[in-house]
Amino acid sequence: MKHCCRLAAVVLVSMAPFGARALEYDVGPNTSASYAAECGSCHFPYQPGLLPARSWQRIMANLHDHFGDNAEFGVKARQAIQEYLATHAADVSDNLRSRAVMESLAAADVPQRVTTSPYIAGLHGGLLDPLRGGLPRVDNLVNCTTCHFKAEQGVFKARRYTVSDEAFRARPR
Amino acid sequence: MNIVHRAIAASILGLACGAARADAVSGLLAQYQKQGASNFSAASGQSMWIKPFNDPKTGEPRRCATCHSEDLRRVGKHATTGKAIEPLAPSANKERLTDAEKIEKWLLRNCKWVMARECTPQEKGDFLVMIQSR
Repeated sequence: MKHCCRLAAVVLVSMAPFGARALEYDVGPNTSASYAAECGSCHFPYQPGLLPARSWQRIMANLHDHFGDNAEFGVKARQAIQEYLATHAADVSDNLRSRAVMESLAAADVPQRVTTSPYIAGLHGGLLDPLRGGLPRVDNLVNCTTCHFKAEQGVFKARRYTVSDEAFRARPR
Repeated sequence: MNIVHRAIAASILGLACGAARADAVSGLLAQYQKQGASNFSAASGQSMWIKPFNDPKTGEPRRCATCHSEDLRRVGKHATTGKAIEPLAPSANKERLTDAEKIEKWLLRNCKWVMARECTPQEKGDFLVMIQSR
């Protein structure tokens, strides 16, 4: 199942047409320092290209109850972050990762978390399976950098997810 | 840069942070007093710090110390995400209490998380003098 998901993702990502212009593979790093600092103070600052603008709008409208936490902003910081999200969301970004996110969504879907878009949830379903062997064991998908050691740079292709993975064994503890 | 230069640079940074902290905290305390607070007490701040409040939605007890730990000089842990929270005590973390806007933002968010309401100016001042003394 896990392998199927991975295979499906590879196929999905490589289905992108060979245009004249080379597409970026991944979302790349956050280009707003205030976004990375504000959102990154509690959790991994997910790049905006991992969700459509409509999801970010709803998230920003509900910051007083942000998955059980209060994450309210001052008006100024809030506007800057809203603009950054709107202009870098998956539906306005041209990279293969954002396309894969968008292709997994129906027009009416408004995923509330980065980790609940069908594309990303599908890739990680096996990871949360209690019967899964190997390391690392995670309870949730909050901290991308546990496995995706280049997540800060917006590179999710590189990952370590089993004890047999050299990169995982060699990681600083 | 040799070790002497580094020591000088570190102490200048320390002094600058110390001055910024005095400014930020005294400015906020004056503001809280204008809003009706009287003398501030680190002891009241400390007892509020460890006092549990039951969250009206989940029923779970929440305290400031839930995330920040009881010892402010130690690294805390976010209750939901598990992310490390750098120590609040200025003695362990020079950058703390140096930015009035940041202090107000987190007092607003965290008072609402713990107590399901905003803190009064008196409570906020009590917290600040308590944190400042750590």
